[in-house]
Amino acid sequence: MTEAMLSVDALSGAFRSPNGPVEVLHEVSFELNRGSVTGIVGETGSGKSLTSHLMLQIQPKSFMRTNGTICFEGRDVFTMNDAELRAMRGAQIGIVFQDARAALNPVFSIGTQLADVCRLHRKVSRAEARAIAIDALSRVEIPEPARRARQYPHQFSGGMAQRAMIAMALICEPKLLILDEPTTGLDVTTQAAILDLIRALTKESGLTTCLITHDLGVVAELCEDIVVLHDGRVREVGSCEQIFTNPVDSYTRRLLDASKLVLRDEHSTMAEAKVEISV
Amino acid sequence: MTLEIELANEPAPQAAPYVELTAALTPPHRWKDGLHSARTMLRQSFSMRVGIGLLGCYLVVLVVSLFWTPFDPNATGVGIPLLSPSGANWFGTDRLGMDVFSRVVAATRVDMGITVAAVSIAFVLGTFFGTVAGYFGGAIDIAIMRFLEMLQSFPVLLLAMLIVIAIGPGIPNVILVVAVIGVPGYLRLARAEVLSKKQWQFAEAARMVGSGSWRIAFRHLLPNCTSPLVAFASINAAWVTVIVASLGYIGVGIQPGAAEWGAMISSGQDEVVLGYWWISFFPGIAILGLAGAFYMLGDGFSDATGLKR
Repeated sequence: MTEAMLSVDALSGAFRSPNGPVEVLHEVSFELNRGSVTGIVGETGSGKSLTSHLMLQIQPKSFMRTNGTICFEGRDVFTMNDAELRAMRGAQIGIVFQDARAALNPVFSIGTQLADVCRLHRKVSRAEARAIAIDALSRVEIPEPARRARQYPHQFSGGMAQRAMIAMALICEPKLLILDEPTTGLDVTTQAAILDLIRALTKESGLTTCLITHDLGVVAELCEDIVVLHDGRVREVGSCEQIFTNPVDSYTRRLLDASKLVLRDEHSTMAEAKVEISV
Repeated sequence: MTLEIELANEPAPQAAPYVELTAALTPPHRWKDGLHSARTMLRQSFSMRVGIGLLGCYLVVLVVSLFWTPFDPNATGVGIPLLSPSGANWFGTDRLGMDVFSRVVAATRVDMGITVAAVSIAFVLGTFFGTVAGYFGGAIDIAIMRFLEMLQSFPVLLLAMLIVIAIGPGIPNVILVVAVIGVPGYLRLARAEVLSKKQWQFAEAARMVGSGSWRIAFRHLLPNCTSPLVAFASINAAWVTVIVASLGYIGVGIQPGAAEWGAMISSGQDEVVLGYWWISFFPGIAILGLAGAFYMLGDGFSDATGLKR
């Protein structure tokens, strides 16, 4: 049985507000298994991005944890001090955002930014860091990586910038990769290419991946395990196949229905409902 | 779009046409990029050309004056006093018989030197504390801003006079005083810029890869704020030139009799009503020229980088 790389255990919390605390997470529990791709699905405001921020301890200051822990490799991230957190971010856990170009510093070249992240966590010389940066760019299938490394973020297209972001997240070879809506905002073809890339990278390095998205199509294509979040509560946890063919929770069923991605299955109770397979 | 798909599925060897296209569009080397954009800015902005040209002239005069002036700027009682501008004395002579042109040229060292030094110090100090106040916020921010308000509540010249009287005359003291007076402008600007960019995604992203706060503030945020700061520095230099001359005019900080534009205007002002206009006029033109040059440079830079002022 694979041991969990990261486990969220009964996590509850609220945001401080002028009208009193606003509960946003209620006893959220799930595990990210080593070497597998887990998808966290939910609508806007369900708390999925907040959970990923909590994993890295970069949540807004107005958030108060009322209960629960997040254990990364056995250590509770809430008990880590600043130095440990800084060592963890980037080197142990990498994160990729939705808007890649906004997440890149506009005044430095891509190569410089990648080399900076590398030198932050490893003792390498500038020349070595540069070589590692160019290698990272080639691993994410960016053609002419040496020339691209000298370019600035505004010279990259959306898909290219997303690849650069993935390269930046992976450059220090982290154990866990979190992708926060990585393909939202990209066109369908680029989306497919990025997902292929993520799948390939996960397989080749045995990476544990956590994919946060509202797009069930992406989840169906890439994820092995799924966590369904709604309103700060975990509605259902299960393998991809189980969730898509035999969803137990009513919210999950409504979600699948709305996205028209229910797979026809003669044993499923969904057979009577409107069933369509869409591409 | 089709080209992008090719790239996604097949690496470099088959992507030749795309490579040629982008190679044509992207300049190959980074330092040439910088030069290229500097040339473009100069070409587009008339103000900037004038500003740089004038500053260049002043710089040449400054350097030449270190080695040679037509007459000794400090030799009293040698020449004939109050001669009007002529072939021998281009700007005439003053009450003590000293050649006005030589004195104006020698004063360039003092005025321009103090201005550049004070602006540089104010820039560094103001930007540093502004970044700290803007990024870290909280008690540090409050403390810095209250101190700044105290500093700015004094009229500038009065404050300068008081400090110089307190710490004594001399050029290093004057530089220090003028720098301290200049700090608030840079501090506020840097603080505002950092505050506005603090929430941008790349700042959060930098934290997510493990950068510490100081690193994010100075290595990531500050380079994004340089444009307004440089434009401000140039225009501030114009203001500082006038402040320095004003201090000299009042007679604060400079040795009496030293060649300094403001002091020269002051010593020549009584003669103006008597008709000897050249003693005060030429130093005045020198001040105007230097301040104007800095101003035009800053103006041109703002225009070229698209800043709203």
